[in-house]
Amino acid sequence: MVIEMYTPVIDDQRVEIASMAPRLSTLKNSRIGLLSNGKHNANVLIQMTADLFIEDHGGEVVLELNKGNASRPCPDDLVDTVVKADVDFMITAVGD
Amino acid sequence: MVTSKESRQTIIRVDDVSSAIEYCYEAGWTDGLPVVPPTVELVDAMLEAVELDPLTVIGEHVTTRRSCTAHAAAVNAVMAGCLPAHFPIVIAAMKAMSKTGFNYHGSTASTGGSGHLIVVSGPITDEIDMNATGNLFGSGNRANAAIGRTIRLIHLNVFHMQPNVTDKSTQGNPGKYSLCVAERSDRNPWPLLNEEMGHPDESVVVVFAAGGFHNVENHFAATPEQALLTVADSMSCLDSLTHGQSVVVLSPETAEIVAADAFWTKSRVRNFLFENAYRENDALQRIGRPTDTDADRSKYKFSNDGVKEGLTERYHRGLSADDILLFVGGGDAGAHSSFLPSWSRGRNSIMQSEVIVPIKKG
Repeated sequence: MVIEMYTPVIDDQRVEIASMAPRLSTLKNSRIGLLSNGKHNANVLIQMTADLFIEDHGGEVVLELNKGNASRPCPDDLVDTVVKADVDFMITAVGD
Repeated sequence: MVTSKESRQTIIRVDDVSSAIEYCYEAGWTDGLPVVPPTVELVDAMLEAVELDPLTVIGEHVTTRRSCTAHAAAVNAVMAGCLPAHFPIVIAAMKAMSKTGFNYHGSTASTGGSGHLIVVSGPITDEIDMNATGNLFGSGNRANAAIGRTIRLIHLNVFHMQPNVTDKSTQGNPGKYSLCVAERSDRNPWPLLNEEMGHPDESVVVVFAAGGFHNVENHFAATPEQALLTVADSMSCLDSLTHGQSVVVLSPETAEIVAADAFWTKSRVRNFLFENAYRENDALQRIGRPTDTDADRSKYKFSNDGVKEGLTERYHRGLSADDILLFVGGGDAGAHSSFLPSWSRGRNSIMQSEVIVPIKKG
């Protein structure tokens, strides 16, 4: 006996993928922003990464943000701050 | 294959039941166990139980931007083994888990590996023959098993939280198969959860992203204090000591010992547990743990010998007695209670509740 059954997935859920940021032409003397995801040592990893950039290419850290809770979605106001930030690039990372 | 416009889900034709079961395995739609083929007839019957348009969104998984419709939930409920009478609990649980404080994505993706506990309280537990007694946490009862399993199948199939792909749990959790219990209404000396929440004539569901199950056993406890200190000791275990919330399920035998003295109201029990579920800071320091917060380690000051400064002396489980969900469950015999800590390292998920809309009559 032929059985007709539904699939358990929803076929037409299209998940929007954010587009990539424009590529930088140079890393020289950049204004760098840091965004910690809030996990232990994330800020340490990010700072060390920024230090390496500065050592190799110059520049400075002009903005430091912390998402506060690694498990939760980034708050809208923080996303807004990142979008409007006057930086050449942001560094973010997971720690632990 | 055809796609039903009404449901947004594809209908597949297969030769027989065993082919349907194998098809579901091949497609990656199971939790490792066989599923009931979600035939059009069974799914329609499931949807008949609730007064919802099939395309009504009943659950949102924010970070993946995926949503669950009543129809998709019904398909997965059939697969899990639910009867239509069970479906209103699935709907209520999905709505509760989709509330912001629950942090749905984090609790389904984390290395911490939570089991999504569903606690059902009120008249529906008897109406659909849920188990609130022996073998409370499994196995053997269809409603408990199938309702909990439905939630898991929705995570897998609708939200695409696949093990080792998007669900990155380090060791998983037995509760990821199913974790649904009913509150015991007899041999329970205290108001039920639905009554405490202001719905004495209705049923409610409470959802909680739970860590590992702790069995709390002390058959020598003869006084309320002895019984409750045993629970508090389990709650202060260093492996799960955070400021997160707690679920405590007292066995009828233990509840009877505690409530033998009318002084021990539910509120006083919770206060006692909170006050006694703590560890001295030096115990945390011995294992390298930060003490007064789960947040950024960099805020701690260290003296020259590595001891952290400026901290309070004790680290309590939770922030107050209100962080403890307390109810009675389990078989008549045995001083076996349980404690389930919150998933992960703190207050990443806050338990949520929802009133259950009863099954549509007629």
